[in-house]
Amino acid sequence: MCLSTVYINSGERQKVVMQDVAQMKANSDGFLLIGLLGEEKFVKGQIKSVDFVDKHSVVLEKMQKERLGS
Amino acid sequence: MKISVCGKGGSGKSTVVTLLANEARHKGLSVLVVDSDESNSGLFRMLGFAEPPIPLMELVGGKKNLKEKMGQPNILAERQIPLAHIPSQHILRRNGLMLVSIGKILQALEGCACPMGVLSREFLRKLRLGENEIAIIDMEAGIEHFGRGIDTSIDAVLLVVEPSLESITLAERIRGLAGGIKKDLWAVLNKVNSESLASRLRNELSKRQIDVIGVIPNDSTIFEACLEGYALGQGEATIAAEKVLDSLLSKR
Repeated sequence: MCLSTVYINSGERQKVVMQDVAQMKANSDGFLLIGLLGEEKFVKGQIKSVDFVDKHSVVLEKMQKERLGS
Repeated sequence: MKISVCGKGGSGKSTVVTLLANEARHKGLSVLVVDSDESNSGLFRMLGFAEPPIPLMELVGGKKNLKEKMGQPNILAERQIPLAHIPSQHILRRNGLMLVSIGKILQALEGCACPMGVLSREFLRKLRLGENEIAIIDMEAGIEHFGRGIDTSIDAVLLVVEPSLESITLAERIRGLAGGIKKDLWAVLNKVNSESLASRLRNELSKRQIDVIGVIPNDSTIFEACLEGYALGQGEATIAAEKVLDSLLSKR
């Protein structure tokens, strides 16, 4: 399936942020996720990995400076 | 009840869908036919509509304008979709028979059908039917819809099997896939004109743990209607389809 699920790393686990994501728009500290059926969600973070073939997933993680500061 | 009609390409899924929909109407049920096949385009004719409905894909802008229209509110973003909430331009209605279409591949190089698969899955998941309403889904040929999760919200799978080894072996694969998501599955034999042939096919399917709930014969009225693009009329197949529908409804 070409549409992806976006996850964010949360400690040892991955948490689903949104399914059936059709578009991601980057800004300085995160991404606006837009789902096929119209839902939108902004999530802070940077891309850790993208799997285009098997899981069709985008994994985000908190920004490095954010983690150091927290 | 949501019934997904599956099978090999050319096995007669759209014909069986139409026959069952017509019989359901005669029994006084409201019937929603969901055209979930992004390739074939003639289901509306078989059902006796003059034009196809505007595909639900257009609610999110269609494949061409998907990105521009994606953020706008539409019924597909609602938690539940009762039949009455489907906008009139996207649903054809005639005497309790209704038709919606998910979307069609229209141009070369337009890309994959993944968005239609998601839309189909979500529409069927959110679709809420009343006591006297049933939905019959005309699936795309083959098995990709199982991979896409389109069948997860349906109540039962009706397999259309024609007299060919290819159709039988695909039926076995579909049984496995439907079992994987814990869906009831029954087969209907199509284009079968003799009891001996029906018996051979029943036997082959029985070896594969597939129960046959009906046999639809080759019917000259169907042949003629499909050749000329008419609505399916009454014929031998109609009587057979009534038995299949009765069997399905008894399993509700």
